[in-house]
Amino acid sequence: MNLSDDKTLIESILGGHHTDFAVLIERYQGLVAHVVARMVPRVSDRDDLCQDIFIKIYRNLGAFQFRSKFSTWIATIAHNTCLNYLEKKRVPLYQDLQVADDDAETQSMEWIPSAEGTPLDRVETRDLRKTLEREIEQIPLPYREILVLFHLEEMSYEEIGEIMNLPAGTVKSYLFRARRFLRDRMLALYHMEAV
Amino acid sequence: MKHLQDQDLQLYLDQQLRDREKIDHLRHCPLCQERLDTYEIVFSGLRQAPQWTPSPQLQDKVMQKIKPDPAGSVYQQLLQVLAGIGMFIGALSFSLPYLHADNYLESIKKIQAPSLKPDFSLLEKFNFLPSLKSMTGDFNFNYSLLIIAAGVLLLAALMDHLIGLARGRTASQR
Repeated sequence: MNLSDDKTLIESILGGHHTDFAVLIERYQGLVAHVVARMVPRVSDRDDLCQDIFIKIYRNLGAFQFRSKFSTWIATIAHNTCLNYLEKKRVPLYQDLQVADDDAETQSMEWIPSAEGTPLDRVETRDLRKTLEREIEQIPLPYREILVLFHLEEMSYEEIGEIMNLPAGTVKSYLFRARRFLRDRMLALYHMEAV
Repeated sequence: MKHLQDQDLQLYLDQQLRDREKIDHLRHCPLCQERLDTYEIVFSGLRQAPQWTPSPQLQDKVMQKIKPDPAGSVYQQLLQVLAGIGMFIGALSFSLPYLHADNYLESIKKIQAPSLKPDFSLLEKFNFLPSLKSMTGDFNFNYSLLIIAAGVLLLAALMDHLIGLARGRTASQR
């Protein structure tokens, strides 16, 4: 049986071929891992959460109605499972992110282009990635999750909104704020004044 | 033209900036180009997966947990057989009195309150069981013993089921 499309795979699993669930794990392990890694700070708990998520997916597979994309449905289960975990651990879920006004940078006009490029151009890529990873871990939860779903999973504002139970406009606004914040932090860390 | 706002720069990198004028400005303005470069570096970092990956045993562990329990399956079948036997015995015990219809009606009459004086003629009229009785001959069975045996079996099954539930195992658990 060709299990390359999700519908056939799901029908096969529901039809009693439970070993085909391994194909589903293989296919969606990356998505689940990305959501868990971005939402759960404690590394030692992440593996157990991934297991719980896949077991929930297996038990609820019959309830999937094909009304949305299967990846959106899986990400929703991953999101809710992590949220429950964080609530139990009393991790603060919704904090704001302070970023400068959108116009502040361009209006001030203090940004003078340099012939040598930006300071970020002069930093080693590996070093930049490490710093960026550390900075991402510092920003509040919804922003982190939106960044991973948008940039890694290439989901639309609407799909992310469905997963996180947020309006698409809010998702878009959070995404811009998070990226602006990260850019400003990176510039500040590498001693360049953007404003 | 005014320099591009941050949101425009981000939209450009998301390939969602549609304003032709802004795109032209971006191509010719060194300041906006440089600001775009800083975003480009951040965007490139965001496209990198988080450094954490799940344990290589994840798939095996999940598959182990969702594996249908063969013991559970046997247990389920056993429960179904026991329930079937129980239902059969129940049905038999319910119908046995009719096989001795005369005695049965007599005993029913005896337990009625005398003041009510119920009329059993209708019941006797529609009672086809005496003919069944003639077909079954002098069949006589100690059905009390059967009922007791069925009760014991069902009780044992119920106890086993409850113990299973207490241990976190259910027949439907996959």
